[in-house]
Amino acid sequence: MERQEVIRLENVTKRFGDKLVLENIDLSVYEGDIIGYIGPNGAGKSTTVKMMLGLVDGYEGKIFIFGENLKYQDHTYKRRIGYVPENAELYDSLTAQEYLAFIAGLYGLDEGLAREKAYRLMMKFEIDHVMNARLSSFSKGMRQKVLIISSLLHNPDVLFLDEPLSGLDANSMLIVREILAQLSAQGKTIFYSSHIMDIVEKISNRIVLISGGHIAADGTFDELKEQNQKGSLQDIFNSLTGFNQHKEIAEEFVAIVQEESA
Amino acid sequence: MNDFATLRLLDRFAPLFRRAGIDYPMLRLILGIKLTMDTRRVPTVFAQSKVKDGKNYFIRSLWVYALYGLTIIPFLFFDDYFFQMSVIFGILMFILMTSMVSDFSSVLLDVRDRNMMVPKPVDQRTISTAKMLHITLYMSLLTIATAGIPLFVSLYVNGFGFFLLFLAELILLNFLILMMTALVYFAILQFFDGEKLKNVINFMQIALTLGIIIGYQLVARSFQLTELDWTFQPAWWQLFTPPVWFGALHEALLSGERSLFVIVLAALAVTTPVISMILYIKLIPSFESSLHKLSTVEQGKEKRVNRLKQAFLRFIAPDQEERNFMNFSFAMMKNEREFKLKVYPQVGFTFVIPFLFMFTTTEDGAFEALREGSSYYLFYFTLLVIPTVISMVKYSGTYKGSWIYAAMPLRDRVLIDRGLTKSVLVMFYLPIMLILAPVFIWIFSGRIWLDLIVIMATAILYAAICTFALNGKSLPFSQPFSVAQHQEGIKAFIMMLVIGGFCLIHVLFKNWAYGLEIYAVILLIAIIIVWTLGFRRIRFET
Repeated sequence: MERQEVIRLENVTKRFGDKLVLENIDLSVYEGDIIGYIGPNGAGKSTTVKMMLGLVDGYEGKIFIFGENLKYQDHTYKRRIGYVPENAELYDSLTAQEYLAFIAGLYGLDEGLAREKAYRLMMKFEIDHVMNARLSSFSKGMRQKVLIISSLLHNPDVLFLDEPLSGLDANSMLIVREILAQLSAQGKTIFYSSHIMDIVEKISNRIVLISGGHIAADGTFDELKEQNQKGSLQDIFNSLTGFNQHKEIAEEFVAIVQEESA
Repeated sequence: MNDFATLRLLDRFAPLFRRAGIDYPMLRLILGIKLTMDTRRVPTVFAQSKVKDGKNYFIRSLWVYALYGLTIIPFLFFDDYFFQMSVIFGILMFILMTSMVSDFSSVLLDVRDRNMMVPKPVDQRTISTAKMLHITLYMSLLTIATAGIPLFVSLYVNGFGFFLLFLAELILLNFLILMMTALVYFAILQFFDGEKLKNVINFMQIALTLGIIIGYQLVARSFQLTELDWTFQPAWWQLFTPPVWFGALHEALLSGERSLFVIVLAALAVTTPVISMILYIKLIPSFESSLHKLSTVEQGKEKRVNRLKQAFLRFIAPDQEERNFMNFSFAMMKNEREFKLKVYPQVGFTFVIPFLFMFTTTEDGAFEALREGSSYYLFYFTLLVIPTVISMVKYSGTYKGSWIYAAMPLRDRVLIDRGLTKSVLVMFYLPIMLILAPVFIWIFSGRIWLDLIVIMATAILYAAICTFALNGKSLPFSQPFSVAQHQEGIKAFIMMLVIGGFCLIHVLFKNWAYGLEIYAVILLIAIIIVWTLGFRRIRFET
């Protein structure tokens, strides 16, 4: 069965001022892909995602989403996208129920249906009892659950997730991982950014490593293992980003901590 | 959350929005959520207690504007349309524009909504329109509060035609203020970047505030009292003073004045708001996309340690922990964008107000008369900056960072408040004083040196009182900003009246021989008591 191409980046270059953030990125993403999108801090991961969502513009090259050039699309393509940003800001003074109703409204969902769906999803995450409490009183894990629900209410075809498991307890993590696997089996595409390599290794069926504005590696975990002769994604990551002094740095760090303070 | 009266009113205009290509249900949804949030105060890190849906704090503070508005009424009884409307619109524009610049700049320049809404399938124009309507709503409430009573008085005093025209002009004025402010920011966003941009915005705010004040002076000078009648003196700069346009419009329509210059002015009153609105709508997309410039982070320059400043700080705050809080407050006040947006216009104000009064009271008198007189009491107006700043320091865009207060091993809570109060004095009062005091001494000669010292001592005492009265138990930078909190309303207003009280005491003591010297000593003792025991007592009692 031919898998449909969902996203294509052609020769995409992005600068902030004089700083080159992404250079000639070429990337094709297909339905059913769970892409583990990894790279060091500041490598341009979130910039890529933000460009696809229209949060950042002024890039060179072409971005195609659902086969259409982003430059000539209006906002409607976003109805098929779900997004969990890193450190997402929520409107804290709203209750979970109000917030989810609002987001559902932005996606053009019917209010009654959305409310019911949100409630049932919250029940599954065991946060239905705080439905009418302010988000400001939520713990980090609870907020994360609300965010995940808000990104899925409209049953999107593409999901951009940035550290979606942060703050979740071990059991909830298991649930979310399973949800992602099942969504992908249904043909949804998932962009999964994270710094926690073991999870990326287990969750994704394809890994894209971005470093210094370039794609440094692209393939399944097994392919990367073979190419790099390393056992874990952590080791591959270190070797591809040219990092091997963690021990020395840690030693120096601890030494500084233990210095007598005046 | 969909049941706001304003939204129901807006529903009547739904077809209009649709025709303009705006997704009306989406617009309504966004505005509804904004209004819901405005009625709430987010509980702070410390007060997790349940907060009930309150009244909109903004609406609660409107009565102050109704009071301001009463000053317009006497002008309705003048018999000259041109003069009365120019002055009335001068006052209105003054009140509304200052509020726009200081209270709504942060809404206009908000970047958070962009991050929130742009990833969703909502088109940019709908988002921008929602933002504009949100501000328009508050501006309209302000206008109604200020001009409502005078408007109805005009119905009885000046007749129906006058009333209708007045109403139409108020709407035009609102558009004008909103669009002009937006366009000024737009221009700045186009030409500047990064750190410079942020500074220019604050500078522009001060400039706008000064512009309003100068404009107001120009309006007053457009008319001359000849034989008990105010006659209009045409001058080129009237092309740039909107209140005169509105006066001209009244004159042209109601008393049939048809001289070319008046017609031109009247035409400006109608065309400028309309043109600036069209321009704004055309520019919305690029306005919004250049807003992201505000959120870019720049690598800061390494700051050199200023030894003189360090020594000075060590002198006024010998305690290291207190000095630490001072430095923290400095850094926060310097970097907090919303704080600066709200505070800096007022700082600009403080510089000018004393002179404003000096010149309006010495209209015919010579400069000599002024020098001999006692107008130096106007120096008390510099104190106005203190309650303005202190009522804002408990807010922060990053209020969640305030968990550090709870986490750190703090020796004494008093140090926070005292450090903060001192830093406000140093950062805002000291520069004003250093600039204005020499000017005052130049005008009034050295004879007023003791008066100035008394006023400065009053400032130190007053700052402590403001901290108690306006901040109570709340920690600095620990509560979120919201549109609706507006100004601290009643409390800040009362604190401003307190300045008048201090001035009165000063005048009384001045009547006795050595009275001023005695007063200075009393103040000094009061300062010592309030800054040591006062800070402590009030904390532990409340």
